[in-house]
Amino acid sequence: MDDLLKDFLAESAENIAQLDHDLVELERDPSNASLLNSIFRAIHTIKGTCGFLGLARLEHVSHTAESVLDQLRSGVLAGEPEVISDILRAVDLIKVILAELESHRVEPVGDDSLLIALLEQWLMPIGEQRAATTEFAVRSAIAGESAASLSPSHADQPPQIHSSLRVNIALLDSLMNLAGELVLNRNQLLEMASKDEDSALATPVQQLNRITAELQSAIMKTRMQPVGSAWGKLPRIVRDIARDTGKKIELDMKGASTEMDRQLVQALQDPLTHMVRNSADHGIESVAVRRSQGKPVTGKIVLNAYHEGGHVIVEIRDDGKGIDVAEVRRTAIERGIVSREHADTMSDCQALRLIFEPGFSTATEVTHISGRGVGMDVVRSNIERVGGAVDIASAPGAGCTVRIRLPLTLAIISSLIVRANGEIFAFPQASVLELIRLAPDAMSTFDTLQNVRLFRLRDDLVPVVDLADELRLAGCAADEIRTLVVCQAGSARFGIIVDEVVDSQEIVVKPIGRLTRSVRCYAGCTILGDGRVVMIIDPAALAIRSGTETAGLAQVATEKPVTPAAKQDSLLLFGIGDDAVQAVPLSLVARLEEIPAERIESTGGSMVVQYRGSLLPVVAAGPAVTFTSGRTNSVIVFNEGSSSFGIAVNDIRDIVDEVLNLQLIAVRPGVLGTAIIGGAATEVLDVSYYMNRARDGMLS
Amino acid sequence: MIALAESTDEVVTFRVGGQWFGVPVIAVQEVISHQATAPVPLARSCVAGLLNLRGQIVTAIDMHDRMEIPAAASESLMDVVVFDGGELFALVVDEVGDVVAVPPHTLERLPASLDCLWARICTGVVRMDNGLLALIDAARLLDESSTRP
Repeated sequence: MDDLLKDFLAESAENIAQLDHDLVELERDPSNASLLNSIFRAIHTIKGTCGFLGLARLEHVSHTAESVLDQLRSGVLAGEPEVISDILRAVDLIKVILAELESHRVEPVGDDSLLIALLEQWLMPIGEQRAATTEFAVRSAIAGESAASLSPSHADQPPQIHSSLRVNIALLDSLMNLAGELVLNRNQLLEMASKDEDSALATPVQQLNRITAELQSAIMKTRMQPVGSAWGKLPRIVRDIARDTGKKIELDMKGASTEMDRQLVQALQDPLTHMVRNSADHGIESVAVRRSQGKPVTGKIVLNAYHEGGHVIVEIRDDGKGIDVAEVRRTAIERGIVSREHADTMSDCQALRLIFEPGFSTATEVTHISGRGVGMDVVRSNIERVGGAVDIASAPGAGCTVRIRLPLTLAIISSLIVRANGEIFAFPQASVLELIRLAPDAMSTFDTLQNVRLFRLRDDLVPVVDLADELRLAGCAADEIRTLVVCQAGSARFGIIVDEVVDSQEIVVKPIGRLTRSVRCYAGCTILGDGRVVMIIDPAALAIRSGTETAGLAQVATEKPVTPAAKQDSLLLFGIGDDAVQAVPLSLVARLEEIPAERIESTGGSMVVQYRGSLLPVVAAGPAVTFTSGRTNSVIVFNEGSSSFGIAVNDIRDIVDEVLNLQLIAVRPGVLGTAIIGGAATEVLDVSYYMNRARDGMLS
Repeated sequence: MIALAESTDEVVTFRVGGQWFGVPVIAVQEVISHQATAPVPLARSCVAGLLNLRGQIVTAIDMHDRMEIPAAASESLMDVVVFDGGELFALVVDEVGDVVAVPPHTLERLPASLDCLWARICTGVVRMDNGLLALIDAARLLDESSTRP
C-alpha cells in the first residue's frame, strides 16, 4: 500500500504542476479543446487513483472538479474566469491534501462542503447558476476557511523535496553499458599492472578496480525493483475469486521488498498471477469441504520471496487439496504427452512435473477464472525465457508449493567458458546439469540409434552431440580427454561434447545482430576480460537444431508398431537443392505456384509473397533451397483453416502413386521420416512443422 | 533510405577489389582500421564475425563476399562502421577514400544490365575522375533476406 501511495504522490505531483500551468493558460484561451482535455485527464487520473486508495476527501473534491470540467468540455459552460478560479481553488485544496498525505501518510480530516457547494453551482442549469443568492456568502466563507483549515497544519515545515526521480530506462541501460566498457578497460589495465609489481600504476589501478566494481553494482541497483510491485494486483484477484466461489481465502505476502531486475519483475507478473489464480480457484477447497476435513475454514495462500545464493526465490504455497498425481499421470497419457510405460516408471515428483508440459491442463472444467488454455506450460516457458526455473511439490490434502528460481538480473549470468576445436564459447550455467569427463576411447563406446549418439548416464540414455560438429567448426578435435556437458533443454536432457571447460565466470549478456540471430543456436554474445567476443550457446535451441529433441520422441514412436498404409497415396516429389528430393502427400497440397525469386520478399526475417491480394508467408524447405534472381521458385501452397502458407522448393520433380510407408522415424525437424518412393529412399516433409514456422514468422 | 541517399550530398567512399562504392555519410559512425573478429559459426557467409567496438557488439560484413567480388590476398583492410536499424555493422573494405559531395543532379540511374545483386543494393552511380562510384543503400545492403545463407 505504501508503495502505491508513493507512486500516486509522485505521479500527482507531476500532474498538479502541469495543471496549474494549463489552467492559467486556459483562462487566456478558453476555447482550447486540447488544453481542456489535458486538464480533464489529469484530474480524472487523480480521482481514479484516489478511489482505489480509499482517499475519500480527495476523491470527492476531484470528482466535483471533474464534473465542472466535463461541462466546460462539452460546451455547456463557457470558460469564464470565475469558473477557472473555482477549479483552481479545487486544485489548491488537492495540493494541500496531497502535501498532508506526503508528510503523514493519511488523509487529513476536514470539511470541504463549502468548496463542493461552490463547484456544484456550476453544475446547475444555466438560469439558476447566478440566482444562487448564497454565492457571495459561500465565497467569502471559503476565503476565511482556506486561511484556517486549508493551510497545512505544519506551515513552518519546509516543503518536502522528492527523494526520488523518474529516470528514463534507456538512460539506465546506457549507464549499464558504459559500466561494462569500464570493466573491460579496467581488466586491461589490471593485466598491464600485474606484469610489473613495482609499477607506479599499481596503487591507482587497485583503486580503479575497487571503484569500478562498486560503480557497477550501484548501477545494477538502479535497475532493481521490489518484487512486490509484480503482485500488487493479487489481493484483489484472490478476493474476487473468493467472493465468486464462496470460499474463504487469506493471501499472505512475504518479502515484497526483495529486489530484482525490473525486466525480471515484469516477466514474473503474468506467471505469478496465473499460479495464484490456480491456487485460489483449484487448490483451495470450499468452506464445507475444508470443515469436513477438519482444516481451518479459511484457506491460505502464501507468497514468499527471498534471496538465495545469487538467485531470487519466489514461492507460492497453498494449503488446499494438493495435486492428484494419479490424475496427472492419467491426463498426461490421455493427451499423449507420455507413454503409459514411461508414466509408470516415473517417480511421483517427475510425474507432477508433467503439468508443465504443453497441452496439459488439470482443470476438468473450464471456469471463467482459470482454464483458458494457457496452462502451466506457459508459466514455465515464461520463466525459462528469462533464465529461471520452476518446480512444483504437492502433498495430497495438504496443499501444493510452486517454487520459482530467478537470476538476480538478466544482464549478467553465470557461465561456463568452454573450448571446442580451438574456439571459445560460453554456456549459461543455469541450463548445465553436470559435467562428465570422457576418456579418450569413450567416443567409440556411445550407443547409436538412428544416427543419434546416446550416452548411458546412470539409468538414462541421453542423446549427445559434438559441439564442433554441430557448429561445423573447421579442423578436428584431438583424440584426448574431452568433456560432456549435460544440459537441460525443455523437459529433456541432452549432452554436448566439448574439448574442455576453460573457466567459469559472470558474463554480461549482449544481444546479437539481425544477421546472426537467424542462426538460432546462440542466446547472445559477451565480451570477455581480454576484449574477445564470445558466442553464448543456447542449449535448448541447439537441441532442436540438431534434432536430438525429436530423437526422444522417436524412441517413443518406435515402440508403437507403424501401421502400414494399405492404400496408395499420390505423392508430390520436389527438389530442395543439393540434389535432395523430398515428398509430400498430394492430398495435403492446395496449389502449386511458380513465383519469380524477386517477388519473394523478406519482412522482419521471414519471407512473404504478395499473392491474390494478400500476403502469403513462405518458408524454404531446407537451407539448400536457392533463390536466384531472374529465376522462379516453385511454391507449394497449403491451406490451414482460412489461412494459407507456402513452402518454397527448388523445383517440382514428379507426382507418383505409392504406398506411403514410413520406414525411419525422423531425427530432424521438418521431416516426418523416410519412405521408399519409386525405389529410392525419400524423405517425407512434415507439413505441420513448416506451418508452425510460417506462423511464427508472421507473428514475430 | 533512398530519399536520404538522394538528398544527402556527401558520401564516404571505399574500395572493394577494383570497385569504388559510396555510402551516405549520415549512415557512417566512424572508420577504423580492421579489428580482429570473433567468428560466428553457421552464420551467413557475408558475416565475417563479431567485433568489440568499445564494448559495443558490431557485426562485421565481408564486403568481398557480400558484393561477390573476389578477394585479393594482401589487402590492408579497413572497417567502415555504419549504423542501421538500431545496430552497428562494420563493412570490411580494402581501402577508404575521401568523403565526396554527390549533388543529386550528378547521380545517374543504374544501368539496366547491372547484376541483380548489385541492382538490389545500389541506388545509383556517379561518374568520377577515376571511374564509376556505386552508391550503396545501407539498409538494403544489410537486409537479411538478400544475403546468402
